[in-house]
Amino acid sequence: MSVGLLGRAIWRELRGTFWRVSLFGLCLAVGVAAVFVVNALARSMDQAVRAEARDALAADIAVISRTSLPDAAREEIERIGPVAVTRLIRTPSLVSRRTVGIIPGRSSVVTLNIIDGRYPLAGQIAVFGIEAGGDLHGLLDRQSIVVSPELLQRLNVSPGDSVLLGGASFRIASVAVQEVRLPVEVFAPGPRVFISPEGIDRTRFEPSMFYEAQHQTLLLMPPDWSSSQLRRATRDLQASLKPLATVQVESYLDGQPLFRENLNQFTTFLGLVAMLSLVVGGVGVAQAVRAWIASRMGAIAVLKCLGMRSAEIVGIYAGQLLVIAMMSAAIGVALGYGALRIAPRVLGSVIPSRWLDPWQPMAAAEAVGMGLMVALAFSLPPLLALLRIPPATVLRREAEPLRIPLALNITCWLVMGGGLVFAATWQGGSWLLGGIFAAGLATVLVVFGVMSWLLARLMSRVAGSGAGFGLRYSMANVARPGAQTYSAMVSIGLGVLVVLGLTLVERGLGQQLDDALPRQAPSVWMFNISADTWPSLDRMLQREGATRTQAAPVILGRLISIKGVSAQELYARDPGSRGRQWALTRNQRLSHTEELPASNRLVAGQWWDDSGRPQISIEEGFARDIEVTVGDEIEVELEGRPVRLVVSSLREVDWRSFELNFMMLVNDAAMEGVRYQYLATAHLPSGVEQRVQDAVAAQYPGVLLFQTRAVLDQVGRVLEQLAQGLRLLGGFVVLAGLAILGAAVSATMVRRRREVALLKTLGMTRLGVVMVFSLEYALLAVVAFAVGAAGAAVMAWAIMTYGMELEPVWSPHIFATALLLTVALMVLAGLSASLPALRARPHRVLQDDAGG
Amino acid sequence: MGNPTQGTPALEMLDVTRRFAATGGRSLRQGQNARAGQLVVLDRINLQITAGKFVAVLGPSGSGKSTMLALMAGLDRPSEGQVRVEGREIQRLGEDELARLRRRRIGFVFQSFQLLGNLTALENVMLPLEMLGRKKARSGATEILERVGLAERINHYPSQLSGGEQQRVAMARAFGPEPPILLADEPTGNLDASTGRTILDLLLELRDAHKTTMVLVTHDPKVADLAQMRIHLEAGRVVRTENAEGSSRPQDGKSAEHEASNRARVEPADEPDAVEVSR
Repeated sequence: MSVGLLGRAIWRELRGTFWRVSLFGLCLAVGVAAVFVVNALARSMDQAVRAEARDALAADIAVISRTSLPDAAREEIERIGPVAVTRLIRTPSLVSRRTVGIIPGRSSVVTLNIIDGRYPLAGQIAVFGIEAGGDLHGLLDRQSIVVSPELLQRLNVSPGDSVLLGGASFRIASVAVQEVRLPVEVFAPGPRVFISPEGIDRTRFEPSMFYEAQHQTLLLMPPDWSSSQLRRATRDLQASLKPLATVQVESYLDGQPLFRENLNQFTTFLGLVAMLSLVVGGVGVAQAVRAWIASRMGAIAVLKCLGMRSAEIVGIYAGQLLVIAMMSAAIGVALGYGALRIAPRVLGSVIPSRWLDPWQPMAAAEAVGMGLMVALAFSLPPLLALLRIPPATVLRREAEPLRIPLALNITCWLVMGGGLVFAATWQGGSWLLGGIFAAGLATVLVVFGVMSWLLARLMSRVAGSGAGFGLRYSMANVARPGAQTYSAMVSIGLGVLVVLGLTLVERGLGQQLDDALPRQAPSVWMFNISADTWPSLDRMLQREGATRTQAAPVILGRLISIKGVSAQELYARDPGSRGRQWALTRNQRLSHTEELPASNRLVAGQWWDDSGRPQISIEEGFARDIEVTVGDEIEVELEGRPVRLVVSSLREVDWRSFELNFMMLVNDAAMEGVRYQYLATAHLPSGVEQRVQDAVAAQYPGVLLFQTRAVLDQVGRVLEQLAQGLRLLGGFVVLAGLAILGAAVSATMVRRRREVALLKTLGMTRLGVVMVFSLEYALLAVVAFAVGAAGAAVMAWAIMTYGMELEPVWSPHIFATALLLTVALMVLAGLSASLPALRARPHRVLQDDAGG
Repeated sequence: MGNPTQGTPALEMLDVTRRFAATGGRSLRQGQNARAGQLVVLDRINLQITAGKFVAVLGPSGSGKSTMLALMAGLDRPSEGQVRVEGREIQRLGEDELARLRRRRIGFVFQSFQLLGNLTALENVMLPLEMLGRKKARSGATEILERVGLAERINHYPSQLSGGEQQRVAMARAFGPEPPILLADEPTGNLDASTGRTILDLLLELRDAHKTTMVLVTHDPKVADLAQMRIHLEAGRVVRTENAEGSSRPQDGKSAEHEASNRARVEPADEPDAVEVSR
């Protein structure tokens, strides 16, 4: 067949059938839209983070650590030849308005930035009162600070006003607006405050004792340096600082590697959810193409009769599919573009709106490519079925179908499976993930297949029993050959799986947040409390109505070696679990106590002996992570001083007790010469937290206080926004599912028209027919829900247990609500798709039927 | 598209049996050639149709007429025996070769017209010409549509045409490529008597003009009377053949001398003795 004739044949076929296959287009468009939205978001955010990385880092290279850098490290830094170096300490703190009379001014938790040197070294930060690209440090003297606008809002103050910080008064010299704020900073404790080390000297802070301080050494490299020079210098510095396990080196060229890695993990997960809606669309495509080809059987037989070869006919139909798929994919991209335009309204407070650039041609190309691949992969089996149509059908309707060679059949399924794995791999970013996704999906599809078959078998048996006519007829409809049971099951079941699965995860997270605040949870946490401050602070808390207070010494420590092997080497040998990584590379908070705390139980060894040796008691899980047991020796750096400790016991800790508990406890002997501070908690009557915070800020400068409820609320708000994004994606899957359902029901339209006409002729009312159909759809919905809900439970369990390391939450009312919604949606969708059949006049239908 | 020389066989069936799987587990027609669980639709048919002849196949519903036609067109394959189209054994041809054979050598006219509903009358007629790669498919199709009296209706879709008009389009489509063989399955079955007669006249006129070998399946003895040869089928067997002059040979299977082969040879009507039927 010539190309010209092929083109003409495609056009002629399309002309007649275009609208009939439009549902196929809709299924695909929805899936393509979902993939486009996710990929465009991922690309857009990744590009934005990279583009703004220099502004965010405020330097070319940053060396980030938990404690101030040792001199050796400073020498290494000097060796790579920075033009300028700025030291920055970032830590949470409290700032308040001045006390008026005896009433403390309003306070707020802030992120304190102590800058020693020019800032920013690179990139832009808009500060009122200085030129673009100017130096913020220049605005700071002993008396002044620069704050971000949120603080002005929170404390209701203006530039020029004075505020209290660490017991000293500071004038707000200016306001700094940093355009670049990573979404993770939404979790940051509070608005930024910039201060000079000279300013800190006026406060009662002890920078070395800060809770959760991040030390950054910012470097500006020579302006004529190329990217490769910068990369090389970063690599060299990373290598030379490697012995300091807790130090991290990054350049702006890395584009916020940690953040992007997290972003990438999140978008990969979203991408696979989006992919799922594309696959649901694919099942719809297969369904619609099968119905379409079935409706064209007569025409295909005629073409074969006229001497057209099967391959040529497949070519014509594949060509049409391609044209429709391309148009649908284009519609999908347009839909996705529309969704992206409104995305800032949904995600605006989590993601800066300028990061959401809907113009993403590469993402569009990816989505279109995957849409075409999925469409063609899922069309293969029905296209192959086209080969089976016997030309003799033109003479005898029941002519035997032609045989398809087994090899061709196998090839077809292999190509289909391969296409799916490839698309999932592309979307998931790894063969492993793609393979797991495809295998999981194949399992789900097979389970749906088996369930549909079982349902049909069951219904055909039960349908003959003594049930009433309506139920019997509905069951027979489910059981009959050619019923769209499988497509309906897949469309609804996969929709249930995704939406219910995401809801379970989201509710699970929400519940964890609520659970984190049971009655026995403390309402405030306080840090940086010196030993002599605590008694008076405790009294103040009691005055405010605290029902319970608790304080424990805290020492920052780092594992140096275990049984004579350095922690670094142990980590290099086997990084192991996340717990082990954390134990071996991070600073730990230890405490000191004479008595075994009430919520602890010894599981091995004995409590402190009288030998006077420095001893340590370790939580049993932590001990497993670092592979130590009673009698082993470990070396810990306590506030910069190495101490050798003998493991005297292992403890089991009841973490749910909300006592102050620690992985590592040391005895008196270990504490000799070590400075420490207290960590305290208090249970306060509801509503007084802010007042207590204000009082603490005014009377106990240096003490940091977090309100549990406020922190969790903030986390909850961010999660809620992310959940909205997830729900939006889940919506795509449901939309694709509904499109398939429509396609499935209209595939049976001819049959339904005749059926309704006959039932009406035999005297059934329209309401009666509606009832029969409703029962049929409800039956399907219940079974599809059962399978989908089981899948959702497994998915939620896997995500919660392995992805988030949280306990999954099962609430029966979510399942019950989902079941009701599923049945209602299915019945509604089924009935509306059956509407033309219900409306048709019986005599016309039967007449058409008789007329052939 | 040269027709084969008159006198050479255009279609041959040698001991052709066609069975279909039947439900119920046992043969619906017991006999020497029957197998358990199978329905025997054609039973050891032997016949030879010479090029250029017009043969009618008669028989009641279910006698195997349409199956015979399907076998002649290579739309179906025999369970046993050989079917030859212009000397080529169809069993040896793959689906694609059969398609090519039909494209070049065989035209069809059906009782239910079988026009492609999404193509106009002109496009329906053009299609086989286009498949043959004819340069002037459009003008050729237009010409033949004019000849069947549809000059004014060429851009209409089948649903916009009457039954008689649709069958004219079907005939134009069948004769367009000038096939040497034309198979017609009750072409007047769906039409009223007067339209049927007009269509039949047109069909015969076209056949005469193109010197086409034509096998026409019909219920109607009056239609069959127009043929040079009539084959009567009953329950899958040839029971009688008649030539144009009405001489007939019974093939009821009861006569001992005919039991061997169920053979029919259809020769030109002016050579009545050349029609050899034996069983």
